[in-house]
Parts: sequence; structure tokens; C-alpha cells
Amino acid sequence: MPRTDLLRVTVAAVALFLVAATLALRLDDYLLYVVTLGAIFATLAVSFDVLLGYTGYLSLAHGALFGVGAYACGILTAHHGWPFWAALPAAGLVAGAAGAVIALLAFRTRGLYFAVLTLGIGLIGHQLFLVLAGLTGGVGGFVGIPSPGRPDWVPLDQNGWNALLALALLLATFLAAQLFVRSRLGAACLAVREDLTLAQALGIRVGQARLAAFVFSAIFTGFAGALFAAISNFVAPESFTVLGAGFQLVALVVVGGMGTLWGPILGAALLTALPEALRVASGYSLMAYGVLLLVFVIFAPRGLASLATAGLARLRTGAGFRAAPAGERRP
Amino acid sequence: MSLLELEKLGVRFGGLVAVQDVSLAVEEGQIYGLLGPNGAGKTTLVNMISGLIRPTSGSLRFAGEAGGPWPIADAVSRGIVRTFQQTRAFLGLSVRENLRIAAAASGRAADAAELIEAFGLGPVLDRPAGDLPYATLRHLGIALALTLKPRLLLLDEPAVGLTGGEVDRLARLIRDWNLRGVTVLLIEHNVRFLMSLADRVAVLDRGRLLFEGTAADCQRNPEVIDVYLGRRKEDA
Repeated sequence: MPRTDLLRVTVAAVALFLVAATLALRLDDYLLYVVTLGAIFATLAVSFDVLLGYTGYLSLAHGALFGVGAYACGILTAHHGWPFWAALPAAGLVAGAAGAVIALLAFRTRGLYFAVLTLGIGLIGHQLFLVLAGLTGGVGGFVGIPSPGRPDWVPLDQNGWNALLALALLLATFLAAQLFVRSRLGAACLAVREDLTLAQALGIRVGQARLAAFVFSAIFTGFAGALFAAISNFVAPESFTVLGAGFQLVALVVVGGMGTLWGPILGAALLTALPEALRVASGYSLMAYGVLLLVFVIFAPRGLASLATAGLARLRTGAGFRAAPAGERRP
Repeated sequence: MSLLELEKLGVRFGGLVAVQDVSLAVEEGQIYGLLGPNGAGKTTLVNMISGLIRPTSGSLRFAGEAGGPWPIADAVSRGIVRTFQQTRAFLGLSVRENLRIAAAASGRAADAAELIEAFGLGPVLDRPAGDLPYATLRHLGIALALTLKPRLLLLDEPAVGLTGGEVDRLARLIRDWNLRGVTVLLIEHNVRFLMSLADRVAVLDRGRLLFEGTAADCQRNPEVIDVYLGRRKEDA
């Protein structure tokens, strides 16, 4: 396994994090908030891609898992007085456990049936957030979630601190996902995506591999939910619908590029920045997502990542522009 | 003690008896050939031995251990590894990625460099498996299986669709790895190819064992000639 390659990726990611953080902290509060949200959605997209891009399973339950992380954090901090730093890992574990239960149900199916089954779970999850009003605040939302605690020595205001945390969570998720996809489990997930029968014939325990991918993505989705809740101080069920967050994740990863870990970050950056840039059309952001999804699936099914790779290759060789390299195929 | 012993192995799909009462023994170090006309149940038998489908009767011993056939992952961990009739590789991934996955699947991966060299995969390492020429894809399929360091390699019609020179090269590779201690169970349609490699042969017909013995005896057996080799009697 190429250790040097992992080292290079790590160094590049940390450097990009430092640049992004330095630049972001110069922005005004509104743009800073956009960056913070963008980083949280990028975190969601990276963890979602471990399942969608690397393992080949389209889950529509992840909007609900995002909510599980958010409500877990809200309940633990606001109702039980936990500090954010204890609630964050706990929320990840709760989402991971919920993910494991969903996975055990959903992996009885494949392909379209898997998507439909997780769609059902996503709908149930959203309903539960509405119905369990005693825990979640119901339709009125969950108010009074404390912001992430900020040590005194940090020379930042709360908004700056929130942005820094969101970028740091993105960095940690990206590096964890890099480790995961390079591990034996990650190789097994790729095998499951490409050819389930051959994967079995090679002795790969496919059940274990895809469960690991699902739980991995659920845990980091839970972390993102927890940070989202603490930063917003308020969450409501409408943030965790199948057609909202659930669909948004699919769009971010497909537009960014499935099966690469930096592609989804590009996707999140574009799809968070775009609605803000097109402020006039704010009510139509879902429509913008839909249109982008159409355009990318038809013209660049490997997403921004493949366009960027092709662009870089062209710069390097001076050769003519070709879209994705040959041999791209998706199951 | 035989490496692989089948004891009255059989499977029925609904009312259809696909394989019935097949008993045979493969010795360590052998190349064991499995012949039979289309639909005789050869692939079904391999599917059972490798754990892809469960038999409805009979049992299997491997390396002295009773209780088989095992589910496929357990069979692989015992050293029973198969290839597929329509060669399977991860077509969307590069040859290098294919080999990485196979190596990661196994706790005791074989030397990749040696396999790459022997199977001529060096020049195509970064090409998607789906773009490989047919014969190279075949080689990749077998190399993936050998990456798992099998004790028993089940090859399901590895020579189908290959040209004469490619078949000879494949035969050499199979013999090479057999000499290094890999026992081979070879299913083949190509009688000449199979007879040139196999120490022992079993012939299946309509799910039943028709013959079991040496390659030479097989070619002289009147029943086998009648059912399967008849049309080749002149050049046999």
C-alpha cells in the first residue's frame, strides 16, 4: 500500500485546511456562515461518498441520520447539560448505531430496492422527529442548543470559531475516509461495488464490508449533524427531510464526483456557493440542484472531479481536452 | 489422504436434479480434469465445491477436514479458490486495483510482482480491466485467484474462446503453478487441452458421474466415447 501517497494527501489536505481557514476568517459574518455551512455539507458529502461512490449503495436515509446526530447533540447539551465536546462523539456513536440498524435491514436488498427501502426509512425518520415532540420539540423545532464551547485563549469570536470547527471536522472526516478507502475494508467495498459475485469468490466478507461502509458514513454524518445543531442553536425536522438533506447529499456527491473524496468537497462548495450567489432565486435552490444533477449525469457523470482531473492533465501535457478518461463505467 | 473428497454430492433445483451422487477424490498436487457435455452439471459441481450454492445432499472433505462444503468465504480461507466461466474481474478498475483488492481480500497474499510477470500483466497495470484483450483478461482472472494462494484452484473452462497459441500459453501457466504445489480442478470443454494437462479425469453426464480414472483410460472407455468423445473418435 502506498504510504507515501497517503502522506502526500495528508500534507496537501492540512495545507488546504490552513489556507481555507486563514482566508475564511477574513470574511464578513454572512460569508463566514456560508463557509461554515459549506464545510458541514462537504463533511456530509465525503462521508456519504464512502457509501455511494466507494461501495455503490444509494442511501436515502442519510438525511434522517444527519438529524439523529443533530437531535442527539441537542438533547445531550440542552436537556442534560453535556458539554459540546462530549456530545459530539456521542452523537456520532448514536448515529452510527442507528446506521447499523438501518444497514442490517437495508442490506437485505440491492440496487433499486435498497434505495427505495432507505427512502422509506428516511421518511419514517423525519416523521419521528415530528412526532417525538417531547424529545425533539416537534414541528416547532428544538431551541436553545448551546454553541460549541470556545476556550478563552482562542482569539476568535463565536462565528469564527464555528467556521474553524466546521473546517476542522471536514479535514478530520476527509482523512478518516482516506484511511478507510485505502484499508482492506475499503478494498472490499470497491469489490462489492464492482462485482458482488467476484468479491464473494475472492473470500471477501461482503456483509462485513458494506456494513462497515454504512456505519462509517453514519458516524461522520452524525458528527456533522451535531456540529450543525450546535452552530445553528436551533434545529427543526424540515432540515432532515428525504427531499431536502437526503437528496442534497446525492446531488453534492454526484455533481462533485462519486468515488473520489475531494470531488464531493468541490460539489459541496459549488452547491453551497451557488444558491448564495443566486440570492434572487433562493426559493429555487432545489430546482438548481436538480438542473445541475441533470447536466452532470448527462455530460460529466464522473462529476467535477473528472473535469478537474482532465483539465489538470491537459495543462500538464498540453494535449487536447478530453472529458473523462476512457473506460469509465458505472454499475 | 486426498486433498478433496466428494461424498455423494448432489443438488436439486425444485424438481430438477442438476447433480446427483457425485463421489470423487482429488489428490494433493494433481491436475484433475472434469469433462462433460453442456448441461452435464460441471459448473454446478464447482459452484457447490466453492460454496456459491449449497448442495441438497452429500458432503465434502478438504485436507482431512470434514463438514464441507463451506460458505464461499470460509472455503476461500481454507484455500479453495475458483475462477468463472465468463471471466470475472473488476472491469471498471485498473489491473493494479484488481490485484490490490485480491491481495487485501487475503490475509496471505502471494507475491504480486511474480504473478504480474508470469501472466504478462506488467504493460497493462494501469488500464481498466474492461479494456483488456480477451486472453489478457483471462490471465487477470486466474492471477486474481492465485493472489489468494489457493491450495485447490477450480478453473471453470479457462480456455474457452482462446486461440491455439493462447491455449498453449495458458496450459504452461497452469502446469507451472501446479508444479509449485497448487492442486487444480479443471473443467474444460476442449478435450485436447484437458487431456494434455490432467492426471486424472472425471466425466459427468446429466448430473451423474459417468467415468472416473486416468486420462488414458478415459479415452478408451466405450461409454465415454459414446456419450461425449464419439464425434472425436477418429482423432482420439
